[in-house]
Order: sequence, then structure tokens, then C-alpha cells
Amino acid sequence: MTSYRLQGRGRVDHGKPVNFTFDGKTYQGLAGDTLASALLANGVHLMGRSFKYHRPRGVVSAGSDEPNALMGTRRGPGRFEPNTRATIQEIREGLEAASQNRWPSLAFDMGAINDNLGSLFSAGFYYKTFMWPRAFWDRVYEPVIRNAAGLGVSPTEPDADSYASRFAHVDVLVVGAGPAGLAAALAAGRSGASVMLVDENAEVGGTLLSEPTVVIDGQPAWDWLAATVAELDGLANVQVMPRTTAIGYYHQNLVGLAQRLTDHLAAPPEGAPRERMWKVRAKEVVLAQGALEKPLVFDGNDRPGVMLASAAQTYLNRYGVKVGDRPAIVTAHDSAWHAAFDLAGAGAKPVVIVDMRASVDPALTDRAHALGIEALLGRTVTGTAGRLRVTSLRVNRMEGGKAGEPRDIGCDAVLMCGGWTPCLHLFSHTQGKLAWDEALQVYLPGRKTEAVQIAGAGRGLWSIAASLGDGANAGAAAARDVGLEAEAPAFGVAADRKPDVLGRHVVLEVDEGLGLGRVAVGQERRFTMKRYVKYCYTTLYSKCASGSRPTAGIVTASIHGPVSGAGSRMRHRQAPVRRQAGAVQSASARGCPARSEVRPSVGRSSACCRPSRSRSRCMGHHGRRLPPRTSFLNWPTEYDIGVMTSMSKIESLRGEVGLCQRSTTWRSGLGSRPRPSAGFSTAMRRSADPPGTRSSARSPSWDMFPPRPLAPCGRTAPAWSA
Amino acid sequence: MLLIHCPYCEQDLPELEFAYAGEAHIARPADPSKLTDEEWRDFLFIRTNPKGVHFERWRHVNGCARFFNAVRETVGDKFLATYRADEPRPDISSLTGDAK
Ligand SMILES: [Zn+2]
Repeated sequence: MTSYRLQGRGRVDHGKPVNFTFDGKTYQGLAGDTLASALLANGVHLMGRSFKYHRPRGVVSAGSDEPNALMGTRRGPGRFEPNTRATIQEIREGLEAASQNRWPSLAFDMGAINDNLGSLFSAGFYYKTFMWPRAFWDRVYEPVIRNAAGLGVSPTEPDADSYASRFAHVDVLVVGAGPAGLAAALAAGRSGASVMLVDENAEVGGTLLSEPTVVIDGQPAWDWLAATVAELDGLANVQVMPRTTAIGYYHQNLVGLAQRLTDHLAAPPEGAPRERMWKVRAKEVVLAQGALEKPLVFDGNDRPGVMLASAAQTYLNRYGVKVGDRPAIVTAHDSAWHAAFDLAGAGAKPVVIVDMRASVDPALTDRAHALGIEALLGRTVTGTAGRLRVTSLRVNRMEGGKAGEPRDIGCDAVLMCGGWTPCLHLFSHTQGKLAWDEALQVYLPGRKTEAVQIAGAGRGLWSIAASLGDGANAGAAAARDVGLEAEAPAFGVAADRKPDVLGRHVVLEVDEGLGLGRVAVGQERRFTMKRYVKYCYTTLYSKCASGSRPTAGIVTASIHGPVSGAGSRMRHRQAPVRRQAGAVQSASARGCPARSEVRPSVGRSSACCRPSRSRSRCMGHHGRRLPPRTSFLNWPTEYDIGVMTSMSKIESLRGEVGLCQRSTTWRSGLGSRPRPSAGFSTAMRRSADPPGTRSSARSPSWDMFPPRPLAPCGRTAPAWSA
Repeated sequence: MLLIHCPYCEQDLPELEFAYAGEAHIARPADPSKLTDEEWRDFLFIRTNPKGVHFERWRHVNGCARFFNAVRETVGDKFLATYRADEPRPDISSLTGDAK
């Protein structure tokens, strides 16, 4: 075993090696590993290439929000899957994975030459450079971009797998099985309510899987977790479903779930469906989806070896993998300090902790000194160096909002943390409004439209104790709302390292220091609505969900808090789902009207494409057959550039920010889509309208997209199976 | 998918069983031949298309196949009430009061 794997540590099974291949080379991981953790254990950080510039990319996160480590996976004929997230795919004996967007090899890529032509392919190039003339779109630009920007390759063979679908009616659906979700399921389950607890990860536990030192009710976290899962499994009215992503929240508490059934099995049972699409009608929904860590913005933050601090902590504590021997930590939040301490405790030698805040809790600095880690406060980071792996970090003193003299510090990994953003994507499906919290500098759930409770970090609560308590209250309240008597259980928590609420982090000062203050150039140019700024910005950032972690927090903070105008929402989905599962959903959950008249609808778009907003309604699925499974849903399935950017792009954005109605988000699927769809071109043209025309002149409102007749879809009712 | 209450079947049933049938309470002119072209156009095509509460006709096409009326709030796409085609339109204020 390699030096990056720590013996006896983590939840992986050290007695069960699993062999898999990556780009033809055989590696060994352990049962319980994801593809990403197994590769990291083998010292492999370079996992892909970016899709536009072909820049080398390493893994950034440890969950479904991964923008970089996307791979093609294969299990024999007809079973090739592009864009598999290495952070989600569990390894299995004989798994074949291959990196994407590289030729001839991952380490040497001809396409990276684009990187040097950065000025041509500048930020926003989709909107600016290729905007005109219009006729060129279909014949010239699109095919070129399509080739250059392809993200993975489409499977060419018919899908050999089968997919199932099922309905369920429950009293309480709990989404997210971290501390809050587990407590909610316990409270509701004990009351006798029928409960479904779903989590997208391979095992339930959430934060607890990465925080083994916490003590709950006198037991170590993992013992408490095992006991809780056993209790839930023992309740006949509770169903616990790991590997299940809640993909959409529709009217009247109808929630779509995509359950992965066989992708993690070395030998799936004959005839077993690969995935199951659930449509769950719940009387009450509890959203306990936690929070996402935000990256920091600096030049070269996309270099392999640069990742989120919480991801490093997860790889260490959950998978027993050290991401580096000499990591440097760059942070604006306390949580990354603990990641550094954990790594130091595991034998790594963190070289430095750079905190952008001028002062932090003295306990943290004392601990850092005791462990021999240099702590630099009030500094910022302006760059990294290294070709296929980060080798050094450039730290600057902050002087009056400007970056001062640089100092280069050698390291083999950079762990960054720009604070945390509550994960409220599903809540936003319901038309629930987000409210800006001045104290925490984050969006919190505001007005609700459905019978839904938000618990835990989604409400800005941070400590495990607070999340457990909040989840228990939410679960009990949900059970009471369905007419049962319920009591919120109390939990005694010790050794909790987190404060009760999500700590405030600095952003504004950082932005100035990095010369990013005018990312909000939009504000000067009548983009007073943050969604516009956001879209411009996300053209660079196009993350898994442009509204998710980097943007909502950083952008709005950089324009000094919430701006007047439309209330903010997060984009639809954070985790992409295969269309095969989604196709069932699109046929029925959207309820295609077979008449020529569409009933008017404002907020949740027209009748056919809930839950998107009206402008993105019906991205062309009416009147044409659904494409084969090769493409993802049209909704945000964004990968590439991700958290990554470089100063040149930022400069470029500042110089030529364009008004973009659409981020590149949903278009990322285009690389794998067989041919341009009507939805694609019209949307692009709309986004190319010059400012002042209908889409950009003012806020999207009711009269901007009047309902228009749609052709009958001509589809018959889908046949249900299983 | 919405659940819609059919006032004839008296059940909440999935949206798929229903078809939207345009705005409700639009009376056919008693003597169309007396109308000007504009008035006839207005009768045929001009609809209120409101942001907010909307009175509309629905048909339980894959059920009892009968037409009924509904009050729907178009922003949240929520049904405030459904009632039989021969019943008078309900009072909006009482409905929205319930809904909020
Ligand atoms: Zn009926």
C-alpha cells in the first residue's frame, strides 16, 4: 500500500483490496473507496482536463459537487458512462475508468495549447466572440466549440441496462442523512409516521463520517451512527435509502429520487435494474442537505493538488487517505484549521495556514503553534505554481486592501476554504425565496410555499449538536403536522469542534485584495440584479450548479450583500442525473399538456417544465423524441471550469463583461449530446441578444415570456415497470 | 405533478388525468351577428392571462370526462378551488385568505 494510505484509518475495509484501472493502468484501492479516494491513495491527483482550455485538473471535492474529476467508466458493451464523478463512483473489482478531454495522453495534451491562446478564448467567449454573425452559429461556431469543448464522449452502443420506476406515498420524506436528517428521521420514525430517509452518498452519516472524534450520547460518532442506523432499520415504518439523489421538488410535495442500484457492484444480479426513479408524494418534507464549502479565488486554483479543505478532511477521516505530505491551508473560515490539525495528527506536515481574516480565535493559533504549523493572518493568496501538481503557493500580505509583497511557500497540496453556503437547491425548486442573512453573510431559506422544513446547516446551523437538535425538532414537527404525537429526542454531544452557527467569513476584503472587487462590474453597468452578475460570473465559473457554491456567496458578497430586484434562488440541481432515469420523470412529472393551449403560469414556468423558471421552460422536449441516454437532463449539469479560474479570465471579465442571460451551465451536456436541439440554438440566440432587447432590458417578469402555444407532444403514456 | 380535485368524482387525482380548457366564465354572445369584428375577435381570442388568481376550465378527460371550473393561482401554480361548471364563481378573497 502506498504512503498516502493510513493504515487502520477511515471507514474503508483495509482487509479487502479492490483492483481497478485508470487510463489502462491497474491500481489498488480498498472496499469502501470512491474512485477519487482510491486514486489519491495512489498519489494520483491529475484526473482530467478542463473542457475548454484543457488545463490539467485534479479532484476538488469529495462529493457530488465535484467539477473536475469526471471520467468515463465502463463495464462491457453498452455499459459505458461518460462524465462519471470520481468522487461518487465507488470502486469495484474490475472497474475501468478513463480520463477525458485529453489527447494523446492525460499528462501531455495537445489541446492545452489553447491555454496559451487565452486571449482568444477569453472569458465569456461564448457570448462575445462567437455572437456574430448569427448564421455562423449553426455551421461554424457551434461545431468548433462542440469539438473543443466536448466533455467526454457519447456512448455509441445501445444501453444494455434496464431502469425501473416506482411511486411511493409517505408521511415524511427526509432528504439528507447527516446529523440533522438522521435526527429528523428518528423523531418522525419513533412517532409512527411512515418515513423515507434518502442520501446521495454510499453510506448515511454525512458530516459524521468525516468527524469521527465527536461524542454523541456518550458514544463515539461512528458507534452512535451505527446504533442509529440499526434503530431506523428496525422500524418497519422507516425506509433508509443511500445512493439516492433527490433530483426535483415538484408541486404538492412530489419529490423525484434517482436511486443508483448496481453501479457499485462488481457483479450485478442478472436482470437487475441499474437505477430506479422514485416519485414520492410526501405529506411533509424535511430538507437536511447541509452546506457546501466555497472555494477561494486565486490564480491557479485549478491546479491538481488544490482542493477544498473539507474534502481533504473527508479523504483523511473517512477514507484514510492523506492528500499530501506538506499541505498548505488557505482559508477564511475556522473549519479549515481543523482540517490542518487532523492532517498533522495523521503524520502530514502542514507547512502553513494562511487565513484571510486579520484575527482568529487564539485557541486555533495556539494549537497551530503547538503542532509546529506556521499561521499567517491577514494574508491573501495570489497564485500557485506547478505543472501537473501544485508545488508552491504565493502568499501576499494585505496592505490597505491591496496585495503586498509576495512570498512563495513550497507545498504539495493546497487546501482552501472560503466559507460555507447552505445547500438550498431543492428548496428553491418550490419557489421558496432565499433571504440574505447579514450576520452570517449567506442565504438562508425565506418564504416557504410547500409543507417543508429545513433543518441543520441549511438554516445556517453549524455544530453537530445544533444540527441534531434542529433535525429532531423538524422531524417531530413534521410528524405532528401529519397528525401524530411526536417528541423531539435530545442528544448529548461532546467534543464538538464547530461553533453553533455557521461562522461569518470575510469576503469583501478578500475581493479587494485579489483585485476582484469589480467582478461586480455588473453593478456599475446596470446589472443591479444579482442574477445578471451571477450569470456573467458563472460563465467563468460554471459550476455544477451555477447558483450553488461559488457564486451565490461570492458574487453577492462582492456586490455588498443582497441587491434589490428579484429574490435569489439557487439553480435547480446540484447533482446531475442520467437522463434514462430522468426521462420517466420528464414524461410524467412535467405532465406534458397534449393540447395546443398551455395554461398560463408564472413562477414555475409553464406546464411542461417544472420546476424551472419560465424562461427556461420546455427546452425542446416537446414535439421530439427524447434523445438516447447519452445526454444528461437539460438542467444544470455543469462541470468544467468549476471553481477554477485564473487572473487572466478575471481581468478579461472586468474588461468586457457581457450580459448573459444564460450561464453555460446547462449547455455543458452539449459535448455529449448527439446533435443540436432546437432548445439549444434558441437559447443561445436569446442570450446573444444585445443589451436592451427583451431579455436583458429588465428583470425577467411575467410579460417577458408570455405563454405561447406548444405543439402537441404526441407522446403516449409511459409504460411503468417494477 | 399536481393533484387536482374533480368536483364530480370528488377525488384528488393526478394532473395527467386532466386537460386544461382555457379561461372560464366567458359567455358566448347572445347574437354573434350583431358584433363588430373587434368584439368578435375579443370574444374568441383575448384572454386575461393574469399574474395571480385565474378562473379556468378543466376537463377530467381521462376520468369522468366532464368539464369543471377551477381557481388557480398562476404564480405558485396552486389550485385554490375547483367547482362544477354550473356553479357561480367563488369569492376570491375567501379563497386567497385560505391559501396564504
Ligand atoms: Zn371526474
